[in-house]
Parts: sequence; C-alpha cells; structure tokens
Amino acid sequence: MRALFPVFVYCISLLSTQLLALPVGNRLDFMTRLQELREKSTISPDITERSNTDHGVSIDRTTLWRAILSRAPPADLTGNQLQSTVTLESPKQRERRHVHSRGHHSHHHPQLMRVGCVLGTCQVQNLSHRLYQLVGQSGREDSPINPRSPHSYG
Amino acid sequence: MTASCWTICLFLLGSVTEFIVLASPEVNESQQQHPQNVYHDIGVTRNKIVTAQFECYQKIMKDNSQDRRGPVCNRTWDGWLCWDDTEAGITSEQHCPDYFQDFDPTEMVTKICTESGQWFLHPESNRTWTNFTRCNLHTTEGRRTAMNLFYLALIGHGLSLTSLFISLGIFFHFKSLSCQRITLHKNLFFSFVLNSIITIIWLTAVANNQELVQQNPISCKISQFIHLYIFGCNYFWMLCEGIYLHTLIVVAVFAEKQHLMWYYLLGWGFPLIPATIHAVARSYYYNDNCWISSNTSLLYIIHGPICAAMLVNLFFLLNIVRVLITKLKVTHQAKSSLYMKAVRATLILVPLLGIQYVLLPYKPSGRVSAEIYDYIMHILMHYQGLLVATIFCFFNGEVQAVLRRHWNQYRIQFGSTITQSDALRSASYTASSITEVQGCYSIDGHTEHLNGKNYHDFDNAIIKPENPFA
Repeated sequence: MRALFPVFVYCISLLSTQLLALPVGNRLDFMTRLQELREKSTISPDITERSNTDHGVSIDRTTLWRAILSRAPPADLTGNQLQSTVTLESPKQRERRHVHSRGHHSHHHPQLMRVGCVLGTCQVQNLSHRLYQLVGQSGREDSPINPRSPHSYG
Repeated sequence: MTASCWTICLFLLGSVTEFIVLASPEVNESQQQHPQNVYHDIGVTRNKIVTAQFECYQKIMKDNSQDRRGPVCNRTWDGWLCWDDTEAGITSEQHCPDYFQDFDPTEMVTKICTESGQWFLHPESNRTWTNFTRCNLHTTEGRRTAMNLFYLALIGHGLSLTSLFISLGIFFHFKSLSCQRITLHKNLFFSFVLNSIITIIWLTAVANNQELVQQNPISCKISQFIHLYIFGCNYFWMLCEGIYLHTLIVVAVFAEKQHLMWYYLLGWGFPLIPATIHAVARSYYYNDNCWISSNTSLLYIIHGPICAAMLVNLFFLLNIVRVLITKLKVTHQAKSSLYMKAVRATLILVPLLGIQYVLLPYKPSGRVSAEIYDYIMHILMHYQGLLVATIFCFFNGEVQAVLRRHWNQYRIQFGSTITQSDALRSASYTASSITEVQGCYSIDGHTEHLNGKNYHDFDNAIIKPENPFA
C-alpha cells in the first residue's frame, strides 16, 4: 500500500494536468489571434481599458473572449451539445450560428449552452452566482416595457 | 525617429476624433428614439445600458473586414443588446441582459434573421423586434428558489458547525479516544468546519454584496481561492477515510500502523494543486469580478478531481460491502439479516465517503426536475457535516462508553440520584452495534501482542456481526 500511494497521487495529478491541457493548448492560439485583433484596433488605450460593469469584464477581456470564440470550439468536456432551439441545420451552419451569436453578454462557452457547472459538487458556486444575479444587484429598475409587446425593443 | 513617433501620435489622435464624430449622430438618434422618461432614474440600470450601447458601437465600427457571401442581417444595437452580422435564415441567441431587476440573465434572447437578410419584423407593429419574452418569465420563481436554497445552506451549515464543534471537543478532550481512525475523523470534521465557515462567509459577505463585487478587491478573489481550496480538502479527506477503511477491511493491513503522513499530504496538500491551477487559469482566461461567475468550464479544474475521488470512494464502498457480505456468510447468518446489515453499512458509509455526488452526478435540464435536483443536492451537501458528526461521534460506541463512564464518575462525585432508563440502554446498545468497527486499542496494539491466540481473537473481532463499519 505504501508503494501504491504515490502512484495514486500521481494519477490524480495527471488527471488535473489533462484538465489543464485544454486551456493551455488554446492559450498559444488565441494569443496570436488577440495580437491580430489588437493590430486592427485603432481605439486609444484609455478607451480600451475602460471598465465594464457587467461582471467587471473589461473591453480587453471582451476582445480576449472574441479571440477565443472566433476559433473553432474545442472538444466538449461533457460530451453533450445542448440546443435551446430545435432547428434543422447543417453542421457548418450550426457552427457559424454559434460564432454569430457573440454578443455583449455571451461569455459562456459555446459548447456548454446550459448555464453553470453541471456537476453535483458545484452547488455552492452555482448558488452564489445565482444570488448575485438575481438578489445581490440592488438599485436596478424593472423593465420599462413588456417584452411581449409588439412595440418592444428590436 | 522622433518624427515617426509624432506622426503615429497624430494619426491615432485623428482616428479617435473621427471615431467620436462618426459615433455621435448615432448615439443622439438612439436617445431620441427612446424618451428619457422611460427610465425612472439615472442609476444602475441606465449606466449599464449606456455602457453596453457604447461598447456595441465600438464593436460595430471596429469590424469592417468581413466579406459578404449571401444575404446577411447587418450588425445592430436593438436598444438593449448588441447583435453581430448574422447569416440569413439563422436565429441568433444570447443571454438576457442584467439591466433590470426582473430580467433573469440565465434565460435566452432570440433574434430571427429571415431568409431575405432582414431582421424579423413584428407583424403587429411592423418594426424590428427581438424576443425578450423569456427574460422575465420565471424571474420571480428563480429568485424565490435562490433565496430558499440560500437559507437552506445557512441553516444546514449552522447545524453542521454546531454538531462538528461538539464532536471535535469530545474527540480532543478525551485522550482515551485517540487512535488512527479517530485522528482521521478529526481531520475530516475539521475540514467540514472550515468548509462550512468559508461557505457561510462567501454566501453572505460576497454573493449578496453588489458593492463588494463591483469594487473587485483582491481579498475577494483570495477568499474564493480559499473557499475552493477548503472545498477540495473536505472531499479529499473523505477520500482518505475511504482509503483507510478499504486498507483496513479489504487489504487487511492490521499488523502495523498506517502512515498518517500520506493521509495529511492527500487531505491538506493535494487540493492546493487544482486550487492554484484554477486561480492561475482564471486570471488569464475568465477574470471576472470576485471570480463569482459559474459560467465557465474552468470550474472543472476543481470539480473534476473531486468527482474522480468520489468515484474511487464508490469503488471502495462496493468492495467493502462485498467483503462484509462474504465474511458474514461464514457466521451462517440468515440471509435477511445479512442483507439488512449490508444495507445499513452502505447507508452509514455513503455520507462519510461522499458517495451521493456520484449517484446524482449531473443536473437534469428540465426546469422542474432541475429545481428538485437543486433542493436534494443542497440538502445532501449542507447537512452532510451534521450527518457525519451524528453517525461517527454521537452514535459511536466508544464515545458513548467514555461519556457514560465520565458521567458515572461525575454522578458518584456529586452524589446524584439520576437513573438511566432501560430504553436508553437499549438505544445505546443498538447505536453501539451500528457505529463500531472494532476497539481503538486492537489497531494500535504492539507487535509482541500478536501471538497466535491474539491473532485468533482479532480475526474473530473482524467477522463479528455486531461490528459493522464506523
């Protein structure tokens, strides 16, 4: 048993390394992509560094995420791709749609359409995030117009 | 060289000026479209929308190099959200904005790009229309559920802390209870205590505190790092309990002490690795305020090893129960009694080893079933400390024996005339038979006591039906 124990610890470390391999592999790729985006940008550093009030993600981070999302999505960790809307689409179109659905609040991983970590041990992380979203942010008004109205925003 | 620098500066300044001039009319036009009185005050909501609008126009002006192939709906700001160029026939989706108190950011907004390359027009108003209807459909229920789970967590961790502090007090006060198994219990209980404390702090001081999250102090992220580290320690001490029991019962290493150093390394040392990796990855890839968001796959850096550990514990549990059934058969027990003991041992060990997390691993996707799952998992998680302390301390035969002995001494010393009822004796005996594996001293016995006779007695102790796992 004494000899087996280090092997056991090593296997768990290997598993952690495997979990880390995905982000590290992406880092080199989107750093290049980020460099390209920065070269295109003509915005001054003062504006670029402006703080974002939504989850505190700055514009630079938004650019960072656009660099990630503009690439083909990596292998799905959960092995599932959940579709919120059932539509008949070719694989190419489906991939393009995920790319096009980038937006101000689309920080979620394109392959994990379900919000939050789905494992049973993630209850505290999911609950704290949910509390912050729904309860923690005071000072907000209710929506000024019924979204169901035909005169709502578009 | 100096001239080149000045030229570049002038060029950048000109570009910025041109950008501002180009953006101004659009902003003014947008403001005219939406009268000022729609928003009651110039507060959080207005600030969020104006910021999002500004960023949207920055993005619209920035991306111009895309070649048009086929009909495409043009990128646009719809008044609340930013939409990129979308190919005709595609329905674009993103999460609801968090500007309004009644909008749920976990719901989805959809905007239809028709086959002809025009954004969807509402048939009644003939204006472009984005489907925000799901944003406030379930917000009230979601908020109520979140508050219920919040109170459930606080009460659960409060009860767990109370019972765990009492248990640790008993374990540390009575030296006769010191042995390897109780030492492992102490460490597990201590990790439960730390986990409960940091979870209560995190839920009350951070998750409910908008100002703190907005300020994003470094102490906030440090507390999240500590929270995830202690979280990992809690589960890896469950793994240590599983390894210890499996080694003791299945591998039958009873002749010598197991080295506790490896358990300390696994329980307190190893969780530093995923916690540190997560902190570094979070800083690089998803550095949101206070690292409070759970919309990231980086959390699997923490929860992947934890689930692997729970799977190993599941294997240990199955193997322990298999050995228990095999050895109980030797004593010619009736089958019903045999299986009853196996079921009881399983139910006792499930909270100690954290097996519930692999029995209910994934959150279902339906709304009602997801909510039921949330309630069940929150109860199993936040009340686990209370359950473990109750089973492995208050129902522990050795603990009860020590407490009874000290109570008798106290009673003799002060001449108390309190008598114990027969029902209490019966309950004590039943609990004792449930929670005892074997006495502490037989594990810590010295080698010279293991002659043939002692070995025979020890072997009998293992297969005694009154001694399931504890």
